Amino acid sequence: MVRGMRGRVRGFFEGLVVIAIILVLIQTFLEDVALIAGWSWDVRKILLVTGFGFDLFFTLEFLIRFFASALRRQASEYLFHRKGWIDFLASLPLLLFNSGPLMAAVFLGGGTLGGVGGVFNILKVAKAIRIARILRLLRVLKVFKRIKNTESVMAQRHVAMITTTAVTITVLTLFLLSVLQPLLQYSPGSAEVLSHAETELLQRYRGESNRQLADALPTLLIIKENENTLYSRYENSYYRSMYGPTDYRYRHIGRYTFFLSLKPLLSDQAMKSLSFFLLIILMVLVFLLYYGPHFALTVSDPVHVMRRGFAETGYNLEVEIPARYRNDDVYRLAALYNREYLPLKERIKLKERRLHSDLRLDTITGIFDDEE
Amino acid sequence: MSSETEKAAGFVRHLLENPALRNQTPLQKEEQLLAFLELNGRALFPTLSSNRFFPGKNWPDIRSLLCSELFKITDSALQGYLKRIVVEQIEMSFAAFLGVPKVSPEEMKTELLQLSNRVVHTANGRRALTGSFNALAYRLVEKYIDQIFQTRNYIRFEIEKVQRLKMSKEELKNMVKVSLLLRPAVYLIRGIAPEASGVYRKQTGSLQANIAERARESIAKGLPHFPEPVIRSGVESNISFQSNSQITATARLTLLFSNLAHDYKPDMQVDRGAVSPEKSWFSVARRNFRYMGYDIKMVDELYKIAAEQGW
Repeated sequence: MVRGMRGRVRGFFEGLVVIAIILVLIQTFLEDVALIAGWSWDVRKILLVTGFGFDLFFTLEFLIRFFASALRRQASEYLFHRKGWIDFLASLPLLLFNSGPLMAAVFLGGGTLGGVGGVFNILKVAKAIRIARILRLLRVLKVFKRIKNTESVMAQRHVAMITTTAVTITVLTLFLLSVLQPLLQYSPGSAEVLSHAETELLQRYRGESNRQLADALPTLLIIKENENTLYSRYENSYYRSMYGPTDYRYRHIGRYTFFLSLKPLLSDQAMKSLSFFLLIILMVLVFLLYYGPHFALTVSDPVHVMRRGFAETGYNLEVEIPARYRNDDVYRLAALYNREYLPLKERIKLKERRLHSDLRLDTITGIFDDEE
Repeated sequence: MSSETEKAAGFVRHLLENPALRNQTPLQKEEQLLAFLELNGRALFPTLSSNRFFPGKNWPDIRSLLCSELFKITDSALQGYLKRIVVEQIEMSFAAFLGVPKVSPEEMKTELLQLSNRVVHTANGRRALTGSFNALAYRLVEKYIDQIFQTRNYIRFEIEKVQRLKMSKEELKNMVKVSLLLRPAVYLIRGIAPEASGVYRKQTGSLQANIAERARESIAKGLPHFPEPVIRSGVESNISFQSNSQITATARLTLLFSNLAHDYKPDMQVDRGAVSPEKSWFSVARRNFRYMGYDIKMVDELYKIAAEQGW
């Protein structure tokens, strides 16, 4: 009874994790859409908070799994053989370097902190690594089994392996690029660096021609001299509803303070981020829907037929060998199986009078219980 | 009925109702159960020899009791089946094409039923009947002969030109069906080696020609209304084509249909990536034709038919 309850709790927890995975992917997608479409700050704040909540949930989940494995002295087994490293990558780094700093920026204020979050913004695509976890969990979904022809454990493992490898390489490459860009002084649009032209324009400002400056610098929002507002592109109510602490930067030049919008830059980054996100989703879907069935049909299915032929006396079906794959190793083995093994098996069966019955002992033990 | 026989009958009925045996013929189920008891005797004995079942009995006695009830249950199912096959499925009009001036269908059917019942009550004949019975129950004769006539290849040539059977497709089907029922009748003859005893069977055509001739004469005496060619066809289906290339086309077909049908399962689930059951069977038969005594050209043609039809 205790075991049954434990199993139910585990099943509930696993179900919760699956739902969380699907929801976090939707949240990741919407976060970028919100920036590109220019949704209000209130909506974006909700998405940021939920993102933080998911990262916290997955971090706790990883820590629980890790410590539970460690208690059973299976920590390395969990990390390396049961894809625990994916659970790690898709939780703690995101919490520490992405959603955590962003939350701090939202509630403590400060563009600088938001900037730190921005450098590691590309880590958001690491959330797609969670998709690899679905490969493990989708096995238990009957719908997936029916559609994908991948009941074979071998097929599922191979599909999971290739999908995880491809997704991980893609994410790591993107991450390395985002780290290398500042080091190589390649800054297509960094939060902290203004372009030379923008700096020159601001330095030439002498307190007049606000309209001209605003026209020349579309990202300019507000000009202040000490505490006085000399120019504002929008009403304060607009700033309150559409701008969060991470959506602008400021620059002091002389006695003037210039507030500049980061939205075009963030929108551009979000578009790139969304593109990579969708690319990874597409990659996973292609592996699941195309490669998975192909592997099943050309590897695990013929292997399954041969295995049954070797294991069961009464099973004598040949392996179907498609002409275009006949030189594959598996099908060359299958050809030998068809040509040599099956006829020999039949002759030996007759010669040695080998018996076979479709009835199995484990299927009839119920009779003895009934008789009681 | 004693309590022990009731228990044995109940146990056997329960086994026969197992879903694994669904849609199989009575003789197939019987063979499955006999094999099951043979393979699992040691595991079953402790429970079956307990107070709940057959206390104080050894395994041979328990097995004998179970088999006895099994045969009774099978016999009662078989009677109805055989009668339906002989009376409803087989027309005796083919005899007119084999030189019988006045065909007496009722008498022929009666003789055939009596012969079949005698075969059923012979241990060796019973086992040898399984394949023939299945071929008739699953209507394999009809579906293959339809295709043979459509493709007009080697088999049709052998039947029409070599064996010189001038009859329609439907008459040929009936002749082959009768040939199938006559095939196991050789085991009624004293002196035929018990190749099939108990659950075992040997399906290679291994009867020697002189014994086959003796069997043919003896069977013909019991079937006075039957034409000689069909009796010869049934008996010769037990001879290897490798040792005697003169055996008739219908005899060769009878052997193939009987062996194909022996382990045939109509609702077999074919694994993805596997060849269909009949095509697989003929493919293996092509490679074992010498060992089994088949006519390789006939096997090739039937293989192609099965492949084209997806059987």
